[in-house]
Amino acid sequence: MAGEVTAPDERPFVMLAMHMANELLTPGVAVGFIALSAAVLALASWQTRVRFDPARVPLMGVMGAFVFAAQMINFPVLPGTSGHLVGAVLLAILLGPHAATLVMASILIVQCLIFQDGGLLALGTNILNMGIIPCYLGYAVFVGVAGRQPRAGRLYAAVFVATMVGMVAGAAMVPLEVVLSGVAAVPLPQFLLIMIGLHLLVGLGEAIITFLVVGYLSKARPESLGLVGERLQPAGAGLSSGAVLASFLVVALLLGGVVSLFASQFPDALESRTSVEDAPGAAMVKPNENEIIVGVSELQERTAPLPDYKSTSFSGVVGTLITLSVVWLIGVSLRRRRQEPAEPARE
Amino acid sequence: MHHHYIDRFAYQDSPIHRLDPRAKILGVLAYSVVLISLGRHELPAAWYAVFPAILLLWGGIPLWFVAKHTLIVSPFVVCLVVFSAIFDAEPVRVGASLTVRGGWVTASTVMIRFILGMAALIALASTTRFPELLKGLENLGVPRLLVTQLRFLYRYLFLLADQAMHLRQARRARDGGRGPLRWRWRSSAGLIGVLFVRTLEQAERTHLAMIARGYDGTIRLTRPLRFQDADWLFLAATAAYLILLRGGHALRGLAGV
Amino acid sequence: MSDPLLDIQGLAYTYADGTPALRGVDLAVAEGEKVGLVGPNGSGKSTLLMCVSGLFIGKGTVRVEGVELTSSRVKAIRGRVGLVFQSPDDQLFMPTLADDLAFGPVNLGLSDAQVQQRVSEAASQMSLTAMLDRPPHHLSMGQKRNAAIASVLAMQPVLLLMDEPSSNLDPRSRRRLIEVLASLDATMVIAAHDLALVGRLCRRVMVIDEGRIVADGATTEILGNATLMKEHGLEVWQQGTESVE
Repeated sequence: MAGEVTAPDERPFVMLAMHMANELLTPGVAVGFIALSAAVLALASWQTRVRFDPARVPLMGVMGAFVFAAQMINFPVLPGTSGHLVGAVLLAILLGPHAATLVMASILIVQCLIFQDGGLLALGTNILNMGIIPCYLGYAVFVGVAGRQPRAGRLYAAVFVATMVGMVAGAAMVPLEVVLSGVAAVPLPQFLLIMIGLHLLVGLGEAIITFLVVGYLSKARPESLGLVGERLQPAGAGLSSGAVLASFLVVALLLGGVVSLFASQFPDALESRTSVEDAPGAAMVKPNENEIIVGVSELQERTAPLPDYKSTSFSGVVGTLITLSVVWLIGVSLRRRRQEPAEPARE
Repeated sequence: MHHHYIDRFAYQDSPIHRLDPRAKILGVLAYSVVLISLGRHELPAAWYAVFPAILLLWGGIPLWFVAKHTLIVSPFVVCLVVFSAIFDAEPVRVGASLTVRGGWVTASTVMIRFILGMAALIALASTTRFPELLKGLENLGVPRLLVTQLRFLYRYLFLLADQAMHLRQARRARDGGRGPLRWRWRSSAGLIGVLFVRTLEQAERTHLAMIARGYDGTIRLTRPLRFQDADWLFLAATAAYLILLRGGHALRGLAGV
Repeated sequence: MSDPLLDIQGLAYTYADGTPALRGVDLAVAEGEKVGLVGPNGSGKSTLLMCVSGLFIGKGTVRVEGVELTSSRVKAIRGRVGLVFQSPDDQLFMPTLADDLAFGPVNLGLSDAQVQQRVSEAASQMSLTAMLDRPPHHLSMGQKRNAAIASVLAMQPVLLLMDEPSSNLDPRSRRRLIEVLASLDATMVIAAHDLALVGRLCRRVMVIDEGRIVADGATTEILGNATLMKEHGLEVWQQGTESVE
């Protein structure tokens, strides 16, 4: 599930989108990942044509339209904020990993070309992170955990773990790709932990939605489950509160672990601060003790939010919170205040 | 669906609109590559803004549109850039006598490049009709299967999005936008399920309609793209522009400025 | 008397889930005729059209221009029989209108020049020339309906089948549609609930109910026959009675 600030009749203002921009990558890295993703997509196309009636394969595009439409259905989280389906793992469960990857890739391409969500050169990384990894990894985990003919509890566990693993793994790729490019020098551990932490929450929502949709289909239209239909029994009791509670607990525990790991980073961060004096440029001027070094430490003083707390983890968290709040405010101000309009005349 | 956003400017006319989509794609791609090939702390020269500016101005795309949509997709980059500003403490020389935190330099260079890159991409997308854009991509080597899927996606995007909106409105008419969280989540999932089934059925019916008109597995398109003089001129000018800019940067870098 | 263009004998069709849709249909349509097909929902109207167009293959024989429709022969009649579906969105699946109109002719193997000619002819017949470069979602409902018809006309079929052509149209578009259809030269079978449209366009009408043709004759007699109409869940229509315009 991705989060959003909702506007009644506008396209959702996606807040937690992982779409990478070109400018976070270097040409070499961008092209490398484009080549990688292209190769995997070729494999996925081949496998899709093998498993589905080749004449019907172009119509997978219609499935892409489905995902867009499905992303317009909102799931309220907090007043003013709601989530929506991302759909990669759902598609993998419904269509199999190969077709699902193709569909997600086409969605990402359209998001780039029509909505400018994500850069052209970043398509390689974006397709890998948000298509290939969640679909293939998610499917593998789902099949592994679900086994044959799973009942409601096991099915939910399978969906939950598959979604979490798929989405977190995809999200974890982003820091790796950014650091690989070296464009923005961000410390890898903190970046990784923030992405993983956020996507633990996103993944939880996505897992619940995915399970609910699969449950609905297995009851209302079991024949539509096609590829994996025989695996799923009509989920009798649906989603029990016990299952939801258990998953919240798991996520909370994981999140707790992530946060404490994050906090424990700051001794290292303090060290990296002091290493400023060893940085190449500084060494030359250090013996002279001129204004440059003084200027640098003054700058550090000024950018640290609280003079005593030079701990980067705290400032990192605060910085992220401030950014998210600003983004949320922008979203709220762009949101139109009127109610959803009445359906306009069709002609 | 409100296609006030999508397709909004693509059906206007201008010299940029009339360019072959392949020329525009190649131009924007080349520009994007050059933009991100700059060194880590290199600020793009002001001349870099000329390319997207010309495309947007001559294409009749208003600035507020570019600003709004850049803003909408910026959150992730903004977060990253803020993150970098806080963590990257390496001192960097800027100009002759100023040394700044590396993080701030990266923040500004990435943001500026992002804005320029977005402007170029928006210029491409809003001056080119999507079906033409797809033709261009196919011509340039993107696999036909993928492009065909994109065509169907585009075609049925509006229909399904409309259906999604109707379903949402119908539900809202019944529950007034309120109700316990659990129920709302369940009903939202149900809406998605309904959409899925409708999509399957639509795909089936379309498939039948295609067969009825003689579909045999391959979709052939007519009206191939043809390069005009203006397109060659555009490509040549863009290439010269990029070479000068990038070359200029490299030269300055060598001179140690 | 020359051979009928369409000749059906003993046509039966059962859906995969066991529902019998057609239980033995016999009918013949001569060249140039415009025949209406009326009946309550579920009577088999759409199924019949699908069988005639070769999309469904049932038991019995369906002959178009003397050629029997079997699974192997079906491809040959693709251009000869044109089916206009009830929902234009099923039939307009290409990114632009021009592409949709060209789809059929291209599949028929025509040259680029011929394809272009078919496209412009069909577009002007249905008054859509200005919209050729537009995607389907830029068209109004009436235009989409016309576009769907145009996409079939581009193949220049000898037999035109239409499923509820006036559904979802506002009165003005409906009137225009009737005028256009009246001006077309093709042999037609029109399945419709819109009795006034059938009355205006078709001299002959067939009533179908529960998979069987229960009446076949002159439009005025059949649609004016109150007992017959009521028995099959239909309304009476008489010459001079038009639905609200």
